[in-house]
Amino acid sequence: MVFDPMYFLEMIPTIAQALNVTAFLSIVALVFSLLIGAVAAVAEYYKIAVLNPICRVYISIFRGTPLLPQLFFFYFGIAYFSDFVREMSPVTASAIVLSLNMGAYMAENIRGALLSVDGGQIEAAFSFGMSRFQTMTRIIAPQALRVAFPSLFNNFIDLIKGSSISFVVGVVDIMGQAKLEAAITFRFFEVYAAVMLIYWVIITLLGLVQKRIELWCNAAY
Amino acid sequence: MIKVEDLYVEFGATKVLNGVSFEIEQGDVLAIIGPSGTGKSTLLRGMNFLIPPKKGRVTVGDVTVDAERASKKQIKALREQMAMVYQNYNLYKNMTALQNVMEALVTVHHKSKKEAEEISLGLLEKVGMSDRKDFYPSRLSGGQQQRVGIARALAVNPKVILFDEPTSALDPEMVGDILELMKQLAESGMTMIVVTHEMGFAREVATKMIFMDGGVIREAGTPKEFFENPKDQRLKEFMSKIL
Ligand SMILES: Nc1ncnc2c1ncn2[C@@H]1O[C@H](COP(=O)(O)OP(=O)(O)OP(=O)(O)O)[C@@H](O)[C@H]1O
Ligand SMILES: [Mg+2]
Repeated sequence: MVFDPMYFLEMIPTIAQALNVTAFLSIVALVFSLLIGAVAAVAEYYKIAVLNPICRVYISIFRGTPLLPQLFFFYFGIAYFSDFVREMSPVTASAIVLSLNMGAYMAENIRGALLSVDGGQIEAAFSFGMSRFQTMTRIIAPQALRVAFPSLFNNFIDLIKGSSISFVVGVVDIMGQAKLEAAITFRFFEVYAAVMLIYWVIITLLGLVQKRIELWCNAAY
Repeated sequence: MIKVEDLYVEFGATKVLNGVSFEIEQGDVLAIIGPSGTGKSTLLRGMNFLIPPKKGRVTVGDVTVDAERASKKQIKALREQMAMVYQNYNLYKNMTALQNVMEALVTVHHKSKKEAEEISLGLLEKVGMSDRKDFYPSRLSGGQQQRVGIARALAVNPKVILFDEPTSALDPEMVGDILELMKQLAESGMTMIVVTHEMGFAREVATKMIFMDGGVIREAGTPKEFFENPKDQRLKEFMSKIL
């Protein structure tokens, strides 16, 4: 078996057909992991009763275990007890697990950024009678965002890569599509080279975007 | 009009304020002096419950809050009556000078953006910062930041402004400017509580003085009494060291 360049080139658009699934998973998980991460980070920042301890346990579990077992546990383990999970589509299940997984990492990054905001101005805001919510949304968060941005962007790139794991529960994302093609032709080399190339191009392009935005972040106030 | 009664503040096992009481009237300028670490900043921050006191009561105008039964609502009502000016200015770094002054007017005092802007522009003019209204704090000198800090405090029309060593972080040549601005405020009838090491200012501008040491008030009186005839032994030592 020798490398077949024509087949390789043919594979790129074939696999790329499933990009919409990869994009869907990554973007949905980005939105929800940001939300989860922000809530967990603020809960710890303000030491919010009940919510904070719950978030600590959640973060510890999701950072302390690999993504693959998390996905299996959710999709096969919890499905055993829950009709809701059993009837869930693989894409939805993957999006949920990816969100929870990355939310835990983002929570830590956001928390660090919140803590980096100088405390004197926060005290000043409180002294004028501003609420914790107002202080967070109007003073702390805008400053923390610029600090957190680079690491959150890296989390997003990890999400895109991580979404490739969802093929194990039957999602046909670009990785799933590659797997299907390889199962027919057994041309593993070309197929997996093609899928890696697609990931590489996407992530390199995003890296360029990241540089641009980081410049804006560094041009702080 | 402003009354602090038997205020106790503790940080864990460290007792920082051990029963502080004083009272001032509208238009008074109270200068608080004392050695480092005796609880002067803590007193100011306890007065607006940035540090919740263990015990005691604070009255500003017609709002009285008892530390042992303070509700969130009461604390907010109390804070709406006062404003604070800090040694390190503590301007909001993500906002311009103008936005800094407007912020509490909009978020706490529910003024319209337009009205808040009018008030704020007037005050920036008053402190001589109109031409820098769109600058972020990072682009302002210490003295300029403190002017904005004072405008921000004036904006909420407070019954009293608490100053915590407002000139201690400034370059020497800026100190006089800020003290002059504070003197003008005092002359316009603003009620002020000023923690300071500027004895010239205290002597000239203050109407009342307090000497704190070890978390209690060792002596209270007029500047005349403090400078001409201090009674407390510690105050005598303190004055001889600082003058
Ligand atoms: N957040 C805190 N936690 C623990 N101890 C504190 C805290 N803030 C202040 N203290 C302690 O309380 C005491 C009084 O501090 P405070 O800042 O009120 O003194 P001060 O009179 O303002 O001193 P200075 O003139 O140096 O500003 C100090 O011993 C300080 O270590
Ligand atoms: Mg102090």
